[in-house]
Amino acid sequence: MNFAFTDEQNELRRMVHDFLDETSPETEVRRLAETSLGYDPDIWLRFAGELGLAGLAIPEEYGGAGYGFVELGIVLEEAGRTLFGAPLLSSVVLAASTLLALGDKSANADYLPAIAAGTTTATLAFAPPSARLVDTDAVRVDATRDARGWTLTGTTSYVLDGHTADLLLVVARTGAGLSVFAVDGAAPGVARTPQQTVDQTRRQATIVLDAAAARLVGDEGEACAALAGVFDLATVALGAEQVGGAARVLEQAVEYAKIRVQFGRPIGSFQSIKHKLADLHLTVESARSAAYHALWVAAESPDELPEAASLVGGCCGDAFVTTARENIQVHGGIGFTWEHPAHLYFKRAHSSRLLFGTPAQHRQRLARLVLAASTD
Amino acid sequence: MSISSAAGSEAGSEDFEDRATFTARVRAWFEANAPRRGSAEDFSAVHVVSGQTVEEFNEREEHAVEVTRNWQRKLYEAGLASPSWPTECGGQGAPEWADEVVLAEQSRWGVSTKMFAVGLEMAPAVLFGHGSAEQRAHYLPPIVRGEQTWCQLLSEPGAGSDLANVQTRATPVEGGWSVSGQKVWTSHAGGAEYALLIARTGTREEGRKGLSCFALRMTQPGIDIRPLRQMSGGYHFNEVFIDGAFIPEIGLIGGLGDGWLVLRTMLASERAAIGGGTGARSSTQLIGLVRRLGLQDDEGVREIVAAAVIRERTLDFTRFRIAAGHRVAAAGSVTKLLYSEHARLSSEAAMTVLGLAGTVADDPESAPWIERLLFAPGLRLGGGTDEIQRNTIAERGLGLPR
Ligand SMILES: Cc1cc2nc3c(=O)[nH]c(=O)nc-3n(C[C@H](O)[C@H](O)[C@H](O)COP(=O)(O)OP(=O)(O)OC[C@H]3O[C@@H](n4cnc5c(N)ncnc54)[C@H](O)[C@@H]3O)c2cc1C
Ligand SMILES: Cc1cc2nc3c(=O)[nH]c(=O)nc-3n(C[C@H](O)[C@H](O)[C@H](O)COP(=O)(O)OP(=O)(O)OC[C@H]3O[C@@H](n4cnc5c(N)ncnc54)[C@H](O)[C@@H]3O)c2cc1C
Repeated sequence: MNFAFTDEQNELRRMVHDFLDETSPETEVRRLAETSLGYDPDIWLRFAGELGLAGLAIPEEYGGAGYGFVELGIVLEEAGRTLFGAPLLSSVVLAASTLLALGDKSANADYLPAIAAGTTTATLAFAPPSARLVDTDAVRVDATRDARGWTLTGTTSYVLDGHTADLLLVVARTGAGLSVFAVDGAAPGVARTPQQTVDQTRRQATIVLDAAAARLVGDEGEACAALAGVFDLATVALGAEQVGGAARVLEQAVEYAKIRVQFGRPIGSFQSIKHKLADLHLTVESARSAAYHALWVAAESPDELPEAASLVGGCCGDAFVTTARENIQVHGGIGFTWEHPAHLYFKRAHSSRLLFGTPAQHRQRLARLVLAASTD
Repeated sequence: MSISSAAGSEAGSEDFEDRATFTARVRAWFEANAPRRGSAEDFSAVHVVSGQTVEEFNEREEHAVEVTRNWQRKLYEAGLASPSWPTECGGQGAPEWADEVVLAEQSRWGVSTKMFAVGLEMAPAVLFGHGSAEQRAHYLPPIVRGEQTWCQLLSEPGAGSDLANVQTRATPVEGGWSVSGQKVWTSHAGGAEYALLIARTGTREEGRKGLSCFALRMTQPGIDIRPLRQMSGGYHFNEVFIDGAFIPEIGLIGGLGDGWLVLRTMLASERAAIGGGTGARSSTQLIGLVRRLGLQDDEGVREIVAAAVIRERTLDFTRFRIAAGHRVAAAGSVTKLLYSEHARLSSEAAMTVLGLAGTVADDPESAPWIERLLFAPGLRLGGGTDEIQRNTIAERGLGLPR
């Protein structure tokens, strides 16, 4: 295990930090939250094209930079700090990881270079219209084949950036089991409706497919194993983003506690506030350790990924929720207002905690994995 | 710990083998010489000594000292004991990372040198930070050879968290100082040859400015050690009555009146030593317990296991991050708090898993957990209480006003 960042990785962090400082201040986050796209395509093209950040973890043969999850994690952590509104989790993490996991060379050659360049945004659609859990058994899209090829019919919801993605990777059922299909987001038979997301900085959509033309990606019926790996990677990437958000709200709380005066003293001099913030520091650093470990595992030791991912899923989401909640508390009444950014993080925290399995589900899985491994 | 850089003895370090070669050599040596975790010879928890009677405690403590001493000597003879220390201090003049490599390897095996933590971690931190080359050459070699153990004489009945209130007094006499006073809660005072002592050399009104730090020889007349019984019923720490004990000139560490400064170094290294402990992996034991009891499929038990595993792993990973140079504000207090929290959480988790069996101490499954359960409250106090660690994190780590 190696936690030391290289000079190059530190430089990457600085670069992303500066870029987001410039392009994703709070005013911009709020402006984008009111737009129908939810992100700024010009900024995304700069992020992907100019800085090469969308293709960071995509292999060079498919137009990427050929780095791995440690580098991608750095980007996500920084993005999480500023609530960067962009198809990062959907296109770069979910869709690209799904394509790479399925290993369909021709599909990869067709789609990945454009994802890396930012000229195509993609997403993964896997959830049924009413989902309590991440459960691929409940998929409600069916694929059928006739002389002209595959078509998909059914409904899928909670699709990240589903209303804007150019390319939809849809999990659908065939006689052979679950498979992944590529569907053009603008094709006939694809109806997309934005959902009213709690977190307005990250969009989700319901997609109704009615005999939409589709291309099978990978082997028919073989999607399950690949998707398990994709959800683990997504959990880890999201963990890095959650750590970035949690660290940012803790900074906000600490800064405010130093300047807000009540009873003739800064509230940060009251011990209950000090101890609260000290505990949050432990929470954030622990979550960060879990995330960094898992990013390293994703890059270097994939066999350990399920355990490392569930460790992340079991603590990072809760860490962000706790920090975002207590940030409001430390801010008092002002933290409860629309004008203050605290609620943006609070909503992001609560939503992202539920995306790829709840913390309780991840803890159950973590326990199952460690109890099954022969360690004693 | 940046010890060799503070020592300014980088001389031999250019000739030292590269990290990869050294790591491979250390690995191979441990493979050949160290007991595996979980094997019958595993002594990674030997430093957690307690006994139900004074005799039993003394016997176990002697055993712990003996086992640790043999191991330390073996490390020393292999050139792997504190390799970054200069040769005149008993080290190898190796680069700083060599210590990290050994410590990281050591944490994977059924071994521990925590019994000698005061000598191996706190005394060197203090001596490299504030002592002279002469003092280092005098005190460190017997420590690194495993010949001498040290304890810490800080707390007093009126000065626990608030060490600025220490009243034990050192007065100048011919050739050194004479010390008198009362210390309390001193761990492992019995077998120790030396103590790191904080004593008052100035007036009471001077508070922290009137304190100095000394190396006090424990095996001399005028030192009366009385074991104290702790909540488990066992013995672990002591009261130490000091009446006219002598400290030669060389025993003053740092300047006269610099005790507070030295103390800060000492407490920082203590926090790091406790939080960075290579203590028994209790979640591994918890997992073993759940499996033997056949409770793997119980959802409630799984939730408990996961919580303990998460706390233990994140503590480990945080330690590794700190070792890898990540900036973690108030790092020592962070790991110390995570550690005491982990000890509490895992022992309480085990009690829930044990159910009724946890009500009796003579069940072989419950006995080790009850020992941990009754030790955990002490971990929240010793080495600076949880509350004091939170104050430190808030004020020094996060910069909140006092
Ligand atoms: C939904 C809502 C409705 C409200 N309605 C009304 C209303 O109708 N009329 C009205 O007059 N006001 C109203 N308020 C204001 C409310 O009473 C204040 O928000 C509250 O008293 C806290 O004051 P503050 O916001 O200035 O926070 P601050 O006093 O600045 O507190 C900030 C943080 O510091 C902590 N803190 C402050 N002092 C100490 C201390 N001594 N020790 C430890 N911690 C401390 C607080 O607990 C808080 O976590 C309302 C607030 C809300 C959120
Ligand atoms: C197992 C064990 C081993 C020990 N080994 C040694 C040893 O080897 N050498 C040695 O010198 N000492 C040793 N100690 C003593 C230990 O350092 C003290 O117990 C500790 O520093 C607390 O001091 P105290 O017991 O006097 O409690 P007090 O300082 O009286 O504290 C009582 C309570 O008040 C809280 N409190 C105090 N000040 C503050 C504050 N400013 N803010 C908020 N809360 C506060 C504390 O956190 C605690 O909860 C050991 C203790 C234990 C339990």
